[in-house]
Amino acid sequence: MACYVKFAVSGPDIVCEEFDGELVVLDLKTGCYFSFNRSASAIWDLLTAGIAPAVIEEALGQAVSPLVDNLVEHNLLVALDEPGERQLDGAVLASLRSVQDAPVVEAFDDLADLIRADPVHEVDEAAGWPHQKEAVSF
Amino acid sequence: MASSERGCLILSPVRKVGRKDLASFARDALAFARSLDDARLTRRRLRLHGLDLDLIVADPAYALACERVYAIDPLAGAPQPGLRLTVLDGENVPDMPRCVWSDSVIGGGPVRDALEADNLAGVYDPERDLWQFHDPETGEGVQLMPTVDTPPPWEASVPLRLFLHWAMHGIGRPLVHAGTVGLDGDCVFLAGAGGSGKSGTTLCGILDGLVSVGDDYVLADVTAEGVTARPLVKIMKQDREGLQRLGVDPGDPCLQGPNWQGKLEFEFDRLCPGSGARALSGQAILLPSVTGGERTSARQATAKEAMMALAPSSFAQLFGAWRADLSFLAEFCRRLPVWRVDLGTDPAEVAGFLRGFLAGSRP
Repeated sequence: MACYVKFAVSGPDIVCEEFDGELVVLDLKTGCYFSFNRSASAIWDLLTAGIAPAVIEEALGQAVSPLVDNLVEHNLLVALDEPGERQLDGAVLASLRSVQDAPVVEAFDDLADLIRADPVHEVDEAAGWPHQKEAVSF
Repeated sequence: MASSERGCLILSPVRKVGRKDLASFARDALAFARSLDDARLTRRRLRLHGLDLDLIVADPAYALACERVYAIDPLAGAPQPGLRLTVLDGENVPDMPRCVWSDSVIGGGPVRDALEADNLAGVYDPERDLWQFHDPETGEGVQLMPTVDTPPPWEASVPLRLFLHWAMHGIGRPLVHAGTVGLDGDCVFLAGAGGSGKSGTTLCGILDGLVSVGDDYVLADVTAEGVTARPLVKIMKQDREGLQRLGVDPGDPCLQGPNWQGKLEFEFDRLCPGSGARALSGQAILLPSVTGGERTSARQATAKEAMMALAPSSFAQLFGAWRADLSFLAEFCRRLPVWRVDLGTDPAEVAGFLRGFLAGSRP
């Protein structure tokens, strides 16, 4: 089903850098980072500019909903409660036509353990988390 | 612990802290450090490359560890930006502030967020109950740890690394996780994960008469004029096999260790006199890999590939300033040409490749 909803970057913890048309995106909250190929980067730019996915699909002639689902699943994008833009200007259309490869986003989570928030168990106030009660304290 | 050695001690009360009041605790800890009587502490003023470090430690061994490793700038003239850094342990300073986390979850993210909200930086190592707080506005930092032997074994390689990274960010010269090899004032950066060949390639180069500012962490700044690398530490490390492969006798009196990794450490300017440079102009980023090929070969790569090689290890080992790190590393990678290098097996051939590359004969 065609999606005409507007999407946006999910928050200020999503930061990205562009390298010759390709993006590296880092989620500061989770520590996950992502490598976008040129096609995925172009689509990301349109989505975050408020263009509705269905409009991008029409212009590209290929489905972008799997990519959108993936970006939402990784909490990089959120759907807003408003309709997306339905117009693409000429420059954007020309840019989209240069997109030839399938969009690919590689996800990396090797940094996630560094900032993951874990539940606190068995706190001994003299020792501090995460020592067990019998831990030696000074 | 301390109580059995020192008799009666007055311990500070343990404060419960969470996201809402961690920054307040951090500021109290910084104020406590500021108020301490110097007579209880060991003080060193160290002129690093771009930063005057005022190091105040409760355990004198910590000062020695820093002096053993840090690269001092012999030409530092006028006063530089400063970092007043106090390292306290519960054995020597039992009345130091102590806290226990009281929220239902803890982790690097919640601690970072709580401090950032009050314009502070910091981390907590829950395995060791070690806190680090830095106030970039006042240029002060404090480390709180239960005992003198709290720090992890890798701390000796670059003591107080995160404080230096945070403070150096303030002057636009943060740490970059890369090796360097130079010639005639220029250098290439060697980037990649552990085992990619950064240290071995750096040592290979300086044994052949090239220069360096470090093989692991270096200081880098990106300006309109270009990218400049400077030393943070004067020590390099290598395992016995690597040393022998490069023709270095593991019994050489310059070598110390083994360290926590089983590697031998050495002041590289002592092992190879004249190899230690004060500053080098970056010309390229090389992404080395050990492939076992007969000859060294190189092919052009992209800034994004350099970023993906640098970012994981930099982010993992230089925690607490990821937003600034991403921005800095991106600019660093965009400013320099990038090459993937498959290292040959003959050290003389690898050194020749580096020398030729630096002299301008690119593949």
